[in-house]
Amino acid sequence: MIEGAEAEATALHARAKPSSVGNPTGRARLRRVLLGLIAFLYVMSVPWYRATDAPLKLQFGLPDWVAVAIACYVAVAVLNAFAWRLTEIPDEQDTVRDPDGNSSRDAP
Amino acid sequence: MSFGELGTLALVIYLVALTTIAEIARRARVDTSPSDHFLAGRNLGTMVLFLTLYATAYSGNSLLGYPGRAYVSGYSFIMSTGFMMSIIVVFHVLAPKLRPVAKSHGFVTPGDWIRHRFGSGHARGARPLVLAVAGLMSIALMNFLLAQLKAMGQVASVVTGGAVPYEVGVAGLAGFILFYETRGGMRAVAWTDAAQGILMLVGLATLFAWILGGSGGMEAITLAVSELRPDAVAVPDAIACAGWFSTIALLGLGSVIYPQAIQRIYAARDGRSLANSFALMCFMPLATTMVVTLIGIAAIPILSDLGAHQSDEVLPRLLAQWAAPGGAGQIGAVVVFVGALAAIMSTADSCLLSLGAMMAGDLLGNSGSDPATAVRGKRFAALLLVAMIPLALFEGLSLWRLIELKMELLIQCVPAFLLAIHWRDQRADATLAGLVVGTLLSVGLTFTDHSRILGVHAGIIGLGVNTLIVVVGSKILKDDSVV
Repeated sequence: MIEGAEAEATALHARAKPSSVGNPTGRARLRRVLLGLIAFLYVMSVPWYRATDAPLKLQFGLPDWVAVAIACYVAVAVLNAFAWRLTEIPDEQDTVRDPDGNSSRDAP
Repeated sequence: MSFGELGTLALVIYLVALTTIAEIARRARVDTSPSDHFLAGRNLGTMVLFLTLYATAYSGNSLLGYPGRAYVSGYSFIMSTGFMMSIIVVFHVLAPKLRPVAKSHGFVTPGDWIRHRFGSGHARGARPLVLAVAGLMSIALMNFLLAQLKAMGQVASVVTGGAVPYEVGVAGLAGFILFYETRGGMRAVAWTDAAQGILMLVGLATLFAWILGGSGGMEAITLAVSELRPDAVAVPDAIACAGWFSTIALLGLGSVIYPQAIQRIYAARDGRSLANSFALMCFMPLATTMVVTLIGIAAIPILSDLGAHQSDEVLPRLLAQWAAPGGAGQIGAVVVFVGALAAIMSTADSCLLSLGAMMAGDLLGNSGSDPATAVRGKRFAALLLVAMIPLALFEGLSLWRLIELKMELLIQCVPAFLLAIHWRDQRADATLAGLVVGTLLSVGLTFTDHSRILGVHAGIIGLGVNTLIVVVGSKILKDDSVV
């Protein structure tokens, strides 16, 4: 009876939050995607792929490679803030979930 | 009223406000335990935690050193926005795992983690590892504290129009920090940091508005810079790009294991407060580092006669020009100077508090729950500060060089934290060996004029070798112990 009620409550909860963002696994997956995107944005923020003798072009009053770097850093700030909102930091070690939401009692 | 008189008045008001906050913090003290003194009773909520993280991370170097560096390097110093942001990214690797362990076991110092993880007294190399990590962190922090003391003297002298000489500024403000840090501990430091953080934001917003308004906008600034210094707007070459990546790694990895940053993870009220504070911190490089970088670049056409060795004078000279006609410019310049002083003092007080805690707890091995440890920590902080004041009176290295040297050392502690928290098989003796070799290599390269190889910092090369030794050593020693 109790198990049936719990299952129903879980199902209701799942219906109330259809997005995968609401459950730990979905949050963990999204968090990993965000951190991957942040890494990609860091790689693109450095103009290693640009010719050093390219003529000066302005975007928003800045050299275009600087504008690209700033755009990348603005995106990193937004994505990282979102990633922190998704990060679960438990308060006690014996209920440790790793930041991806997996339970563990014997973290190092 | 002259600039110096206005600045002196602002300085007095600022110091009175800090004294009041420190006294309120002292009265809020719960007990005399090290946890209450060094970690504010582990009860910092989101906003205070965010502002203390902000004020601690953004130091005198951020306000005085970075504009000078941007002035010398040009637009490529926009990398500073990236490396300050990388700190909050790298915290993902450490904070979510360290926080619950720290809370469960009552950690006070960074060494408490090493003792917990590697088992002081039992595992081979554990106690020497605690000493090595604490020693390296202490040297790096002393380096950082020295930079703040020097910057305090410079700003106090400029803001008061010379009424407070450099030497008096260093000694007087150092004494002031010691006073409120000793009386109120982390609670006083965090609350004053919060006030200082707000002042810093106001100062920067004012300064940036003046720069943009007076220079005709960013496009006019960029065109003027491109005429005077074409190299400052040019796309960086391959070596410079390697240096860009290397600096992001150096500062991102190194800053995460600042002892004062680790102690703020311990001091958070709960995990949610910590995560929310980090979420807010994500935007501060845009509001702070990017702004001071653009200020340094805007200074190129305004201060075209400065040499690279005078780069620390960029901000003071800009503000002197702003204040010269008097009126609103003068008031704005005073606000920025006091904001800069706030940034410097907030970093210095956090360094001092962490140094006291590490010396009493990690280097001397006192218990983190013994009230006598807090008293010893205060005494060490006082002794250290008094000993460092004469060094600060010697004006040799630039602020940027000081922070780079500090990071080369600090980053060698990374495997003991970022790797050890995720990898169960990591051993204390292998970690110690990696740390010693990595440190010797990066210091050796720096002292033989190889501070960068193909743009990559000596500290990053040292960390690479360090990590390799830790991984291979842990694997080999584990296999040996199985046999």
